[in-house]
Amino acid sequence: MEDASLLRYSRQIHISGIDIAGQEKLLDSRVLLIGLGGLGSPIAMYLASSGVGHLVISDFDHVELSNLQRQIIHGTGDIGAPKAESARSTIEELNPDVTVEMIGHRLSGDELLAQIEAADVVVDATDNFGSRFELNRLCHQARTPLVSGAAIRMEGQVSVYRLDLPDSPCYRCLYPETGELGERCAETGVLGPVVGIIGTIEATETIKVLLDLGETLTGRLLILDARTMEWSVMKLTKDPNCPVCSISPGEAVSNS
Amino acid sequence: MVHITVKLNVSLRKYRSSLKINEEMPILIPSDTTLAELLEHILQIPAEEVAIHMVNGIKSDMDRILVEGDKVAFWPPVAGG
Repeated sequence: MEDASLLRYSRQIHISGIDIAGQEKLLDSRVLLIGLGGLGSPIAMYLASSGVGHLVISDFDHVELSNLQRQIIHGTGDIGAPKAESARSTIEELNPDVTVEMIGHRLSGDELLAQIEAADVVVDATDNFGSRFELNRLCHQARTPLVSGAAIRMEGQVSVYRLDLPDSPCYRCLYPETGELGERCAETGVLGPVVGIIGTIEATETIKVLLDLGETLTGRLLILDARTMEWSVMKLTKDPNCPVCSISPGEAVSNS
Repeated sequence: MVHITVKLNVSLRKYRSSLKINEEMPILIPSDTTLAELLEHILQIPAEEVAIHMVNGIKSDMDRILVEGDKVAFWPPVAGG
């Protein structure tokens, strides 16, 4: 590692369990981030500044004035620009070590699956249940770890689904897939720092999964009520009847 | 009859607006009451507004039968971002 990199990452290289080897591993890592809104903004910025070497980021929206209260990767001068372009310039300014691949259209189906298969970790920063269920299903199919967070009003939830491991619950073990459960921030509102809190936790957990550092939120849902600033932890176990993760393709073959 | 406590979190607090923030509600319920019956019949909260059902810190199914001392907590769905 060059001197400039040693200096740039020195504060985290000092952390036990990261060291130079961990930093090199981060620089060699590939993360797929879906969404560049309130969650995706701090996630992209922290993963980039931490030196996650290859970021693949998908968002098909354009920057609007009403985004800027929380989507801190974009600025006033970016209004009207594609979020993918605006985010790219912020990330390149933050850390030129990072290779950024921006996907400015909606990723789905086989194209999404191929990106998930290529990633070390997938980070869910979407804003609706449909996208979240699709990501979970494809991450399970590809056996790729999924870091998932959500926020609305002054509430947030975040967890890690180690879909590369057989005993981990998945997102579908948490939420039933029954119609349109949720409200969107556009309809209900959201406080900017609250998505920031949840997004930075997602970035932290992503780095931990990449480096196998400490204990992640796997099997625990962390729930924030920012109005009281109370955190709750719910233990989440694998649902034996989960339509996504209860039977692996390998088991299905061996049982037939 | 069994004694349990119920906590309604974030937006679900609107169903018991007299509750103080973080206040747990002690309730006496008939034996063999399930989580679903507690929610819809006793608390009269629409099931579709609740996504996360926790008993003693663990995600629980709606057909779980509640027993003496159970601590129940409910949360609404959150998918925004």
